[in-house]
Amino acid sequence: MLDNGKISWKQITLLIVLARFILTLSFLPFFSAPPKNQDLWISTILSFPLQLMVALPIFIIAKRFPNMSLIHVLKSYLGKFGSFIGFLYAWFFLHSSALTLREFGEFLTTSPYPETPIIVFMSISILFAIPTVRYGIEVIGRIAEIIFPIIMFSVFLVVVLLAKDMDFKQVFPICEDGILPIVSGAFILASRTKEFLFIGFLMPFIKNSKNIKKSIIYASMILSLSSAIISLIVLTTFGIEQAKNRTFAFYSAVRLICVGNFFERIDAIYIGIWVLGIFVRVAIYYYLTVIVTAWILDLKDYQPLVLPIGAIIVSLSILMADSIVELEKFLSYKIYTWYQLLFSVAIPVLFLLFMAIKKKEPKKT
Amino acid sequence: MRKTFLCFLIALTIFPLCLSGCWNKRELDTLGIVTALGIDKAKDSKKFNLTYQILIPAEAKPPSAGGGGGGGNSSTKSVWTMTSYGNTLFEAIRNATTQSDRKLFLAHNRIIVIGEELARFGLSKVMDVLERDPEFRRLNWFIISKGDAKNIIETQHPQEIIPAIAIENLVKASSATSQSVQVTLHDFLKKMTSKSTDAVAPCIMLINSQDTETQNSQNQNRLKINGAAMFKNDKLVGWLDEKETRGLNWVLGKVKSGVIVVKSPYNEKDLVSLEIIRASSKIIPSIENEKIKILVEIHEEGNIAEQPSDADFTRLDKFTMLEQRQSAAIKEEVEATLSKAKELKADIFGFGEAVHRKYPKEWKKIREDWRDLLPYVEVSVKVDAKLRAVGIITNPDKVKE
Repeated sequence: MLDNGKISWKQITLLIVLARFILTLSFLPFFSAPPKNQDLWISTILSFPLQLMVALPIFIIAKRFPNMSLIHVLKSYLGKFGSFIGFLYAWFFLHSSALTLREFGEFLTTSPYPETPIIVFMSISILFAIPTVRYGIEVIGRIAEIIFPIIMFSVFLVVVLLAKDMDFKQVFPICEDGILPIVSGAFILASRTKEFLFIGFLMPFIKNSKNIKKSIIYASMILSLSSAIISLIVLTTFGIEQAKNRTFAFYSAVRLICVGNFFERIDAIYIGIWVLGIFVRVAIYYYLTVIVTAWILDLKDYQPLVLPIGAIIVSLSILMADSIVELEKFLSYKIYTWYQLLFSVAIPVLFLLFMAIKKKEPKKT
Repeated sequence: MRKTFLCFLIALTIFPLCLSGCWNKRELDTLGIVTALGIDKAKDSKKFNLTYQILIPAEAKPPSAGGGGGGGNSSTKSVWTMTSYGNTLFEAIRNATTQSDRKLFLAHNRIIVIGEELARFGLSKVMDVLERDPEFRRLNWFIISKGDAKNIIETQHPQEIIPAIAIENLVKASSATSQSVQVTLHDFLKKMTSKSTDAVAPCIMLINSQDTETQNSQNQNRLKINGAAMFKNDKLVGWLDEKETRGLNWVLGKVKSGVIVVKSPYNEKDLVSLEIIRASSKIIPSIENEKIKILVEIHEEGNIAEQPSDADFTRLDKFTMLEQRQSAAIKEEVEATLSKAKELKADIFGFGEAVHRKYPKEWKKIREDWRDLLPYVEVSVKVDAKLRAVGIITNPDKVKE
């Protein structure tokens, strides 16, 4: 065992929710995706059952091989080819971590710190993530447990403070363009929840792994509810036409807070909270990259991998796109959805099919 | 031991790097804090002409009690106004640094005044920088000036040290009469980008008041906020006067307070003032025989605020007559606004949105030419006005002859 840490099912739930939810708090790309009208909030609620479907293949694998990570399962069934797929996952986590870092940097350099080089924010957050990853999964799980209530409370606070600016008439008419765009919107939203992969990869660390079913259900429930709240906040304060144009929709909404002429300009607090959440997201993907690589290479210790992979993440996050326009092109629903589904659904499903057909005994590794 | 020492040395060399602070720091004494911004179209060219009201922090402190009272006129110096030009707004803002020794800081701007000429030319090209630049807040008050915005920004106000605060207070005070609108940049943008609803903005103007009392022989310009500017898409198409503006506020349900003056049912010569306490409205669209009908329901509650006539309003029938006259007065105001909006084909009431919400399918057929359809839409106004209280006396004092 590379890491002796243990996390509870609550912590894995919170990790999934945090890692997924924190980007919704800033980028909120789904306003420019279908349904492209005021029915978006229905999509967010409808994404609940679809998210469960996205999680299903991972759940089946995890249920069948408790105490084994997806890498070990793949390696024992597919041998060298399994290792290759494992490398794909390592790349996927590396890429996700770098993407998160880049989005984080783009946000900070666009609004509060336009003149600061983007690498400053990226390297600082990686510098803090390095010791976290070194300490292992248990620390990341506990950080999530601490940060989650803070973030949820801040969202709740924003709802309360913005309540007077919300115009719920903006939500109507419901189902203007029929049900199909809403469902496809829900599908896009659900496909973005690649975080269920955490369960597949962190199985060996989960205490009492019987609870993962609960964990998946709770995570998707909290996720669809909270994104419904966020999209309703943005929708009712901005109206759909304005909301589509926001680069950082929720941030723009927070900037509108003005209560009694003195309680205003609280966006700095919100940025602080966002940095906390992004840190967890970077750390968990960083950790997964490191541990997956170590598993594939059969290393006895993952610590030597931490620094080099950190360096790769920072450089990748800078090299991946020249500008925010290029970045958003990749992150748009037309490309990113399929890229994510490949890893979160397609590969696990293909593997399950393979197992069903071949009924092979695991190879000795 | 050596290792600890080495770590200590490294820490000693690295940490001072962080102590130098932020490299793009901006100290307060290097900032020109803009409190109001006026945007005009430069004459005979496509250039923009920006006027700033910049705070002079050393002067902008409240006059000390007792102390040098003699100064009096120090308020004229607390802000400095300047103008810069540019092909785009952003260029104009940067060009300001050629005149201002402090870099303009717009995050604390409160007021944006747009000149009439620019508003008639169209605002869509202007609004972009106000939205895109993170320094601007969407909660700036958005005002249209009759004439050039430059003159508004340069005008002082005797009551406030900083004129921008005076303008802000004037905008807020308009809820006492409901004869103007309160619009922030956020509200304006929301309506401007909306597919059917058209925007309005408060109208600010300069009035010439000859102060004979202060023995100032020169005419003093005063700021006045009254009425509203009416937009169609992004262009200014007309002005609403104070009555029409309140008519709009009735429909939007935004009347907070105000005075309705009606003729007394006893004697047509006497006037009775009724104070508006609260009001609400409902816009109910309906489609009959493929014709769009809109019903505006207005509920109002008021008090008798002043009635100098010798009428006896303790009699219930006369009291209800007064209520009816109140309803009629409200209806008249609303209808004046309606006819103006229909004439200019601007949907400032949000009727289109109301139809859209109730009849999404039918809306798809008519949304392209909604504004042209507007004059043919049948709008009926139903006013339910109540009088509740009469004040702390019943009948006016009678002078015995």
